[in-house]
Amino acid sequence: MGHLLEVKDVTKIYEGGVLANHNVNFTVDEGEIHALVGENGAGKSTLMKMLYGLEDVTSGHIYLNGEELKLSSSKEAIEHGIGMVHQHFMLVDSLTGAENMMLGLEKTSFITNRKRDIEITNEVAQKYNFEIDASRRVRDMSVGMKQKLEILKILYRSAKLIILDEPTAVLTPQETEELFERLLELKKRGMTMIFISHKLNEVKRISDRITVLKGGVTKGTYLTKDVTEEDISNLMVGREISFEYDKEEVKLGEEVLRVENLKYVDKFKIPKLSGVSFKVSRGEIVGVAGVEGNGQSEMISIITGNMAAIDGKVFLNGHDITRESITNIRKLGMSHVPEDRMLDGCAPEMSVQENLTVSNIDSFANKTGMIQKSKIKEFCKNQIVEFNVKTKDENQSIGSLSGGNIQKVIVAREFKANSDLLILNQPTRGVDVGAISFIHSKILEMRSDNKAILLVSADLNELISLSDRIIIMHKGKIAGILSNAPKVTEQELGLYMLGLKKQEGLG
Amino acid sequence: MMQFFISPTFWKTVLASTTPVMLATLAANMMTKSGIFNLAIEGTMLICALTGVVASAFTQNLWVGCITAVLMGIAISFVFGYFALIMKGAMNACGVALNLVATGGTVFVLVMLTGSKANSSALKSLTFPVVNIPVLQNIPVIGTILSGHNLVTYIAWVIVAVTSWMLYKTKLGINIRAVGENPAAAKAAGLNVIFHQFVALAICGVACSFGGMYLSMGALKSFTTGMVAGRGYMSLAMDAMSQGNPVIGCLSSLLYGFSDTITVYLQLYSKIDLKLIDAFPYLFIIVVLVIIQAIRTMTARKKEKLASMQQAA
Amino acid sequence: MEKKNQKKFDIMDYFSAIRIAAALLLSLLIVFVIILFVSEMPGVAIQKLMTGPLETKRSFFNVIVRGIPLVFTGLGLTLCLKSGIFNISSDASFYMGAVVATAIAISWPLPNIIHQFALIAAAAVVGGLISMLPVIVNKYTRVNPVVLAIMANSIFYYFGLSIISSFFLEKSGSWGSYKFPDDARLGTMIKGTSLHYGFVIVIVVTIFVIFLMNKTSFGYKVRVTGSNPAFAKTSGLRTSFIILMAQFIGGAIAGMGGAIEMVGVYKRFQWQTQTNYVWDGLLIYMLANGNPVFIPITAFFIAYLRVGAEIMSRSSDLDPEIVTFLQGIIILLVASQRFLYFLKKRHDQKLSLQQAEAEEGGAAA
Repeated sequence: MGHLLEVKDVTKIYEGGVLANHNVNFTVDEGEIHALVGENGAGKSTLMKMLYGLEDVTSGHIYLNGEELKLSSSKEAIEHGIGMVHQHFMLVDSLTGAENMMLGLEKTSFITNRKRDIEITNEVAQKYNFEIDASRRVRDMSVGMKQKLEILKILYRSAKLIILDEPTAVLTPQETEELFERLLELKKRGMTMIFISHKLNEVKRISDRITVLKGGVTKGTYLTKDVTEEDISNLMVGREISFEYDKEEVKLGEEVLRVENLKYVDKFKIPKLSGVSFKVSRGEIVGVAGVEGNGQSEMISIITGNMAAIDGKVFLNGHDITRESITNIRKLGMSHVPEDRMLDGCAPEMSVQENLTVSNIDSFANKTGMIQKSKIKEFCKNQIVEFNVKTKDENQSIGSLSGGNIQKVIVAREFKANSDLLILNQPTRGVDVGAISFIHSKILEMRSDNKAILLVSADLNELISLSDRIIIMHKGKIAGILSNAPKVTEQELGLYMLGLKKQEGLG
Repeated sequence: MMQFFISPTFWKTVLASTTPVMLATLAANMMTKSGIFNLAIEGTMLICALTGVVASAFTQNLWVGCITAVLMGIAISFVFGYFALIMKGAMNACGVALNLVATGGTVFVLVMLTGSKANSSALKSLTFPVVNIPVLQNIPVIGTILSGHNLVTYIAWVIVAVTSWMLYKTKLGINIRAVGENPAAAKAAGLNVIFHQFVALAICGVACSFGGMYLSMGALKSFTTGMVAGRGYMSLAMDAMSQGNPVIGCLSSLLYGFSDTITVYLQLYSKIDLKLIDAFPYLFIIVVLVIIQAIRTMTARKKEKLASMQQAA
Repeated sequence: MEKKNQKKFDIMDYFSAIRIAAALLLSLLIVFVIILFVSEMPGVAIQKLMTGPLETKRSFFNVIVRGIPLVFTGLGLTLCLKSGIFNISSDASFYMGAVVATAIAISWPLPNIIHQFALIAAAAVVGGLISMLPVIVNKYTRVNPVVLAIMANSIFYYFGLSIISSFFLEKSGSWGSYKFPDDARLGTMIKGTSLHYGFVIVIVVTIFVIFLMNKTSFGYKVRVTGSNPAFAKTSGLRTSFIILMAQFIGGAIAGMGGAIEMVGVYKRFQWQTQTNYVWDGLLIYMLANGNPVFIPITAFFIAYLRVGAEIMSRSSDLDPEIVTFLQGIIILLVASQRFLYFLKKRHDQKLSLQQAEAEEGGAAA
């Protein structure tokens, strides 16, 4: 039997030169729910955008029903029976449900017929057993209803293949459950679906086959019933090389960071943090583990002053920094390697030198505010050598470096600020192996220098090889705090991360 | 001194001086609705004002002149669209550039054709007629205010009405609004974003051309250098007030017409320095805009705060 | 390893310079073609436009004098735009700077040098404060700063004009203020030319801005804020304060420019039209690619074109406004990111594939 969809040797390079997919291969059969899993930045979304005609393919082929598919717009994808439910809903807020339903259709009349549009929308909704209010404006709809509308839009366009890009990311558990019921119903009607997610329990529950993507490359396709969540997780995050470091004994110093009962609710009214408390002391690395979207990002944003908590307090060296500006938090002794390195970690158009010195520029200036160029140059040259940054010279723009080298520059800057507390959020994501072990050795150096380090990572291997203690987050709460001596196993962490195990009395 | 408020001719003048700004505001509304920021409305109006005069003078046919100016307006808007949307130029810079092209180009052409740097009175250009509406003109007060305007004023009303209807009641309008509000969603729904933005640009060009022609072939009988005098820029403020809605945009531009007319009356009847009074329309519009926006911003922030407090509770 | 990397010369490192030069040449070409079509003596016209200013000493110095206000506006805009805000209120600062200078020149009898110093300083403060307005109002109302700045330019023009006509207008003769006393004017540097001591000030201010933007920590902060505000904020910079300070300094420079132009070139205040230097300033900024080092060069280039165009109009049938038209075309081409973009795209794709292959090769080994 032929495949419904075949992706062959597909490569995508973005205009800025970013390589998102490299020779990706996988097939989808008719009538299955095919899960596509991978970390953030593994290239899942890019791949789907190419299938849906939103991005062009740099090289490689896509076959639909054995015929080569060349898409230049999503309109053509729709005509071929491909529909997509995007991670961020592709709905126009000021239009009604019915208007969104009819948007872009050619068969509708030039002058709109509000009543008829609503009737049609309701008919389609009834047919598939979806409940929506077609006359309501999208901006007044609940998240769940918006998503149903998205799916209905696709069904109404008689799609045979539906791509769902992280559909459960913004849903409550009840809404997720309802969505799954609908999807299984659609499967019974003969619909084929590609389900993108990194929530492995959901993937396990709903899919027939699983393709794992890592670093823009396919790591294989498996029958869901043959693999466990742990297997998939290992394929997603596991690295061929495991890191073994000789760590010095912990010389626990005084407490540097104390977090008390943090609470946060996001704009979709989903609680992201519900009472998180912990401490970090000098000389220790505290790792934070958790499946993405369980509150780690929000917690770091609040600690670093980028976001305001709804409730709770953060203390740095005894100062209450809950309502402090970022400027003052940094002055009080915090450095921060942010999660999104291109957005918050650097100014891509500026030089390596400028990116190396931005947060401590005042230390290079004399009393009149003049920068001592020679001092900066020397500092940068030293950093480039010490952190092994591969660049033409310190004046090259940082955006033209590879991901690993950009990250080394950011790490160099933050580590040299001589802060008491280092917050590292995904410090080695999307970085080559050489750079990873280098950054790891630098982190351990900082630990020996008696700094307090909070390390958030999706890479369990990294957490286990570096951390002294590991905090595991699940659904905005701390599910467990494990001591990492002797080392915990990935399996043990996995049990906490998936909510199968829980320490009591952590709030 | 304030008795002019009850004079119907005062209100008629208000409507008349609203006309060009109303058209410019409609042009700006279309741009906002389609997700474009077009500073070149000013320059487009200026070029069209000259084009209409020149074309009507050479052909001695008002309608040929009118159509030529309209086509020119669309063409200039498309040039903006080409550089801003297809060549991905910064919209601000492209707008500024076209305004320079307009300022320089109109004077250059004017000198080439007439030898004068100041105006086109050497050309025998045509003007749009004044229209008296039967029945309506005989009604006291209302007839004086609403009848007897230049044809372009009535055309402007029709354009605003048709465009608002188009924006909210037709597929094309909904598509344009979708493209402007959420281009990614429009693209995902299979709409051609650039195409719809160019449709909006075409409407913008038509509105600008009538706005320009009103100045040079209606309010005045000839083209004078720099005669748009900031009305295009002003329309951007009016557009910000109306947030892209043409009906509200139309009402906002009445504010301009009102303040502009008051300016003329104040200059005649008050002892305040003439130059300071000239600043009045700008000051009035900006103050109204700032107050409206400040209230909007405050309520939006309050809502956010309230929402987050509810969540916490 | 490092040495090997250094040897590689890559022409694409100079991509922005090449792009700007190409845009400039193409625009000139377009204007030449227009001249060929409409002029009866295109040869003379083009020759005068391009070399006219070099023909006499007078017109050469004229270029320099005309360039001085352009340098001020260009430098002022550099600070405003580099902070990431499209604040084009320089005209308001410039015009009000001239008005304030006029007021102090006429109404405060001060000794020479102190007088000039006082009026330039006052103009700078006023110009700086005006320039901050669009950003402050934008912060509280979210009105587009471009709209605010353009409105401010008109409002302050009328406001300044009314100050002059209410308090300093000389009743007899053509429209203008009272004459400035000699100890308020800047005086000519070279006899027989119109070059005034403002030229010295412009050099000082240029050096100041170059130092400020490229050598001080403040300049660093402004550039980072403009380049990536989210990053600047995460790095602990006080972005709002930095932006506001940049607007103040930028406006102050524009205000100084107004004052210096007024007491350097004119004997009395006679500006009855809006100055519109900001559009020239924008072009100067874009041609200099935002680097203050190049601002004087591009500013004098624009002044050269303007003077050339005037000489051209005197000896041919063409109007000098063709230069304004030319400026528009240049901005259009320089602003278009896609202009010559295919060169860079091809180059970037090749590089990233090479990099990926090298990394994979390294990982495999």
